[in-house]
Amino acid sequence: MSVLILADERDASADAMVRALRERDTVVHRVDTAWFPGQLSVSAELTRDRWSGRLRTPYRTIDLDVITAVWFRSPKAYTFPAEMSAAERGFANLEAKYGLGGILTSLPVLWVNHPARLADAAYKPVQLAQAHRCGLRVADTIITNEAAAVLDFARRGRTVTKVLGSNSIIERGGRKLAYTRVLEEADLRDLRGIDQTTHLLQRWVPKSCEARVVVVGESLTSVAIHAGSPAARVDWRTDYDSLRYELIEPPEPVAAGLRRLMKEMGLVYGAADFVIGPDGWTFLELNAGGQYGWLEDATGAPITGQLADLLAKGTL
Amino acid sequence: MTAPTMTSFGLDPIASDSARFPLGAPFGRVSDDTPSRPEVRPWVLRGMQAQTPAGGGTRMVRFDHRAQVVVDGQGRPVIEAGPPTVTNKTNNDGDEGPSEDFSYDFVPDEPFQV
Repeated sequence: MSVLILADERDASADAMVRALRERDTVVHRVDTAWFPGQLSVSAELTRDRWSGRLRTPYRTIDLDVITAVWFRSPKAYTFPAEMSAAERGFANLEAKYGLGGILTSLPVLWVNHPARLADAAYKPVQLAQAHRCGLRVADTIITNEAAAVLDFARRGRTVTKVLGSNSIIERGGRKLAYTRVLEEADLRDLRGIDQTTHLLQRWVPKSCEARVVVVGESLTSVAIHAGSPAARVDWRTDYDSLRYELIEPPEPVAAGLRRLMKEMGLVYGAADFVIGPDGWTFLELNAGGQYGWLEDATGAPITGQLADLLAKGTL
Repeated sequence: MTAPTMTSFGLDPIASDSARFPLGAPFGRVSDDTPSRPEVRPWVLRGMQAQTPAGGGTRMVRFDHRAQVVVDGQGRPVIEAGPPTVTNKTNNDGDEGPSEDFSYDFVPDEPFQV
């Protein structure tokens, strides 16, 4: 029995997980897919209904047959030789995705989370509709590339913009980040570029604070995030220094709705974000690969331990 | 046990077959692309903010394949030096630039040039 961690090699939460699993006398193997093919190789044969074989890293050989759980914790893209042409890299990347990715994905073990479910969960519109079906309150939302629709939505109430996918773009040699932003009248006077791709706008939800609820199997850890600056009150990611954290209990209907959402989306782990306001809890999004380490540090909540127990057990 | 895929959603996935082993974008991506004219650039990008360096000093670290954790220049596990925070910075072997101990939430298969 062993646990396979697929994680970025620079990941403090993965460091903590290695330690936690060893404390539980669980054999752990940590691999970053970015090592492939330079520092990671694979060889596996189909034996009836499963792939048997091994992964090799600079210091270990990992028997695929004895893996009982996999923590899919944001491993990085494969790294191919710089000498490869772009066309060759694209080809090699797809072969590795289907080959190495396919072998690993087919392992009949506990996945936290299964890569295919993680990929599905990245579709925010699906999440929001599913969350509503699961009984959670969801903010009024529009997704459009029509300027007239933006104007119509924005003029019916205070509105924020968010991004659907990556919150960053790299250009001019640096990285730029997208945060939740309240629309001003000046924004609406110039909507050039709206038609170039879909945009997500959401009605502002009055808030006393926000919460991140970390789900590990059946365990919920709910942390209120109190913002101490105007910017953080719009998006707490803009000003971590101003934040204060507090362990709280979500209302039972919210907990039940979130558990149902996790089940419907086939997820074992998730970090769900909510607004807490005069109308109760409003669901914002579910991050299937969401961060939890800083909340554990701030509150002492044993989230690493919960995950380690689940991975060591190898079953829900 | 098998992965919890046999749900109504799991039986009807929406991610394309090529997206189902999602990997994060590599570190150290660089681009000298410049913003397009306003008519072409996606409108939401106007609100982007340049990432500012995090405080808290920097540490030179590397991944130790034997210990399976990140270690400092003396080979000590970084995690033993204290809990990571969102403002700690690390310089991974010095050539990949600063990174936060806790980066932003994982975005599977963020588009990038392979």
